[in-house]
Amino acid sequence: MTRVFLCGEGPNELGSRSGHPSYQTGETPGFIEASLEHVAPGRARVVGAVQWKYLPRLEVGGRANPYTGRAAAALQRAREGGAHLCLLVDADGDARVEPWVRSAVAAVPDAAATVGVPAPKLEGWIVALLGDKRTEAMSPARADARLAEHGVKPKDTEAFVEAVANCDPATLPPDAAGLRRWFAELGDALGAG
Amino acid sequence: MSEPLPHLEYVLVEHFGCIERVALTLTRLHALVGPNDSGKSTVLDALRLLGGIADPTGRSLAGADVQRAVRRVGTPRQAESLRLGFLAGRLGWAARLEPGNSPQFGWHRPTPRPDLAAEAQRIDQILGRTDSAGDAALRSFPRTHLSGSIPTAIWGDDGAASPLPGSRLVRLDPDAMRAPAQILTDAEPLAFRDERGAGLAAVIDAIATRDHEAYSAINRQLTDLFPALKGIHLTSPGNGAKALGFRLVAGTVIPAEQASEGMLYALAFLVLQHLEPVGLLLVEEPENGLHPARIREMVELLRRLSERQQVVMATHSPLVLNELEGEEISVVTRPEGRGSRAMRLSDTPRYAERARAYRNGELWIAYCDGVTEHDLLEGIQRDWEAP
Repeated sequence: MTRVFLCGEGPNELGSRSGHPSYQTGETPGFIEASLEHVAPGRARVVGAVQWKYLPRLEVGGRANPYTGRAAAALQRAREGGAHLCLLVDADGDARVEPWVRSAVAAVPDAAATVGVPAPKLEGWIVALLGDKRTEAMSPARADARLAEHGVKPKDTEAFVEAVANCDPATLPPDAAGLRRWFAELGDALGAG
Repeated sequence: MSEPLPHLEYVLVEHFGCIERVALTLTRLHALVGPNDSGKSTVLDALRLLGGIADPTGRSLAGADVQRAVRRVGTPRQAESLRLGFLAGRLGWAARLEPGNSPQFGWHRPTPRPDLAAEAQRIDQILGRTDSAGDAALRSFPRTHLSGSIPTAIWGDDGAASPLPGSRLVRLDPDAMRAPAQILTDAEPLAFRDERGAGLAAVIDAIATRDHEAYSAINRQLTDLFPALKGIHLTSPGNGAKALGFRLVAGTVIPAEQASEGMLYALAFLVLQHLEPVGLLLVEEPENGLHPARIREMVELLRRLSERQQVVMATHSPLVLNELEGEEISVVTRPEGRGSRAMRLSDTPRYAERARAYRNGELWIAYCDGVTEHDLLEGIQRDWEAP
């Protein structure tokens, strides 16, 4: 059993483990927990979670990018929980985000982390799971629109989780490279690769 | 290269107000941080008392002040005496103070290159002994000259220089800073009237008279911070008083009563560097009233001041802590049923690892809880979630 610590942007990623730590429960999964269960059923135990915005960054005028410090902070939280970090942050249509996050993680010695940066955002991965092609080239607004056309309401975490649970890796669109890599890296981390 | 000025490196405070026992390892610039009511301000009060007692000029605190301070703060258990001790440079010092009785003081000179831990232990042992052996140990220190209940030349006969020529506590209050104040005579030192910054107008007037270059520098620094400002505007409302105001670039003059609190705080900090030097400057919540972008500059100013005098502050601002090193921060807590205690941030569990992920202010707020600071001081329990 691999101990896993989750970090994501909100309920879609973290389910009921989002929000202030005092109010988190393990009652309903989000996209990350659903991915873990899908890739390696029963092999991960979630020991904690933190919402991206609760990782404190304080600097007047800001940093070169807001991801570096937060990724390092998430890794530290996971490390103190003796856990592997599963980190999911939306690219929000910005191609710089993924390199920023990955280089931040790579800069931490002995980092144990699986990083996912959905492009253009998590809704893009969901529509890819539902069969859409060329999702990574979509704009964030286009991804939202396609989600609606699939009959999924915005921020419908349950539907997102269902999309993961029902997906067949063999039928994932070949151009959904980020999503494929997320599942592959999770599988490696949990020994199911 | 000249040796750095001595500063309080180790301080032990026992039975002072809410403090049962706090041992602090201090740096030249140091911040105390912790929950409300943890004892930070009491530590500052204790340091002020310490600085006052140890002032060889006797100017900053008179004997009666010591007794008043002892009576005011009281002790957790009245039967116990208030004990203070410190190490600074090549001097160690210990005092036991009891309301109504003559305080006992002693100081000693550790080895030329003192082992801080060993000397701290010696101070601890002396102050920790309340029996006759402890008293004898205290008396075995070379005695200082006592005048009534206060030493007038605590630094002894051998000409040892005081590392603590007085202390100044600053708890700035905009209303106090706004009030007109009697002009300082030439004989009066440059100092606020009280810890709230009362007399600011008179101090600025005296600086303008005694050191115009310093006055110009204050004006320049202030207008850099507040570009809409042309400069300080002093007026004489009568009865030998000075009133503070500000002239705007547009020409309007605004009296201090209408000036922003942030401007007054900033001005007071700029003035601090020109006041009569003291060995120990104690600042309560220096972040008050300041825009986040000004906080870094304020800490830089305090750091520059700390080259000439030790600066110890109490703060609740992570932005202040972001500008400091881990060894420059002590976390003060008061666990339920126990007295206050202190731990340097750099001595907290996993500090080196955490400091790679966070700046110090971020680290503090990432792990503090405002009560026990358990995760910060004890570390996170690894199995904090049930299997």
